[in-house]
Amino acid sequence: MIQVLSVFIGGFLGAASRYVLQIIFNKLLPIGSIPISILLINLIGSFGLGIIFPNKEDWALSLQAFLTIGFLGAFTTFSTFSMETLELIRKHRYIESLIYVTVSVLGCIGTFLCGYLSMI
Amino acid sequence: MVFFQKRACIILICYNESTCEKKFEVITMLRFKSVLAVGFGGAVGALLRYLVILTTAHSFFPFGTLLINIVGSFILGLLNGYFATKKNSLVFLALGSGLCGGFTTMSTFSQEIVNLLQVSLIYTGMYLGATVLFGLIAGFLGLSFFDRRRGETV
Repeated sequence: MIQVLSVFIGGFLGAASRYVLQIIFNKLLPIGSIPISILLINLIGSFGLGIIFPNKEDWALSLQAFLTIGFLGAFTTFSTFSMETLELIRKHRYIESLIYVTVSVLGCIGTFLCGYLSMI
Repeated sequence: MVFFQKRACIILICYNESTCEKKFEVITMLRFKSVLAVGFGGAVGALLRYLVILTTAHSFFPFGTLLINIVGSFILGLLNGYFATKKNSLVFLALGSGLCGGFTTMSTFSQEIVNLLQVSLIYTGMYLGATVLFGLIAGFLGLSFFDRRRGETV
């Protein structure tokens, strides 16, 4: 039960901070054809999970659920990523969409590995 | 960050070293209601994802997250089509940015890719390809559902 509650609270904080950060990034970063805000958010979230992952066995199960499934799971998003990609394809920006997909997927795996390897 | 009635104001403080001047710049105003809507949607989304992951946890191939990301992309596509003209409504924020955004995940996806890499390269490729390809197809189908209803072409 406490795990369910920690996922709920983690999801609340994760999604809310993604929303606030997305608005800040949209205002601060230069507007280009590639949507950088969500890309950055996904990279940061994957890096965070990479840092947490090797040590998480030491923590209480509810804290693990709060951080990994709740906060970082809701902070990063796949559905907005696919919408942004489809938007690029719809505008016939095929090269940009290919770059966006590659950088997102490989970048997130890469930042996860960076975080993971730095904590082992 | 500065708080007003019902709104939060995010302020950038610039410090000019040569003139020792502090400049305040309002970046954006946020409605608390919007942040709360996204938060509650995200909380429900994360909870649903937790339930799906619990029920599919005993497989080495991460079917759960694959299903979550495909279904979430499809629903966000539907919502984007339905709310095409009213993207600032609280309902769209709660369901779209909140529920779908909180339901789907990129961080767990990366973690599972790295886990699978230690097992088999073929499964890793299958998982990566299936997530990206089916996620995009599902999003496209969702988007085109309401477009076609309105008689527009995508």
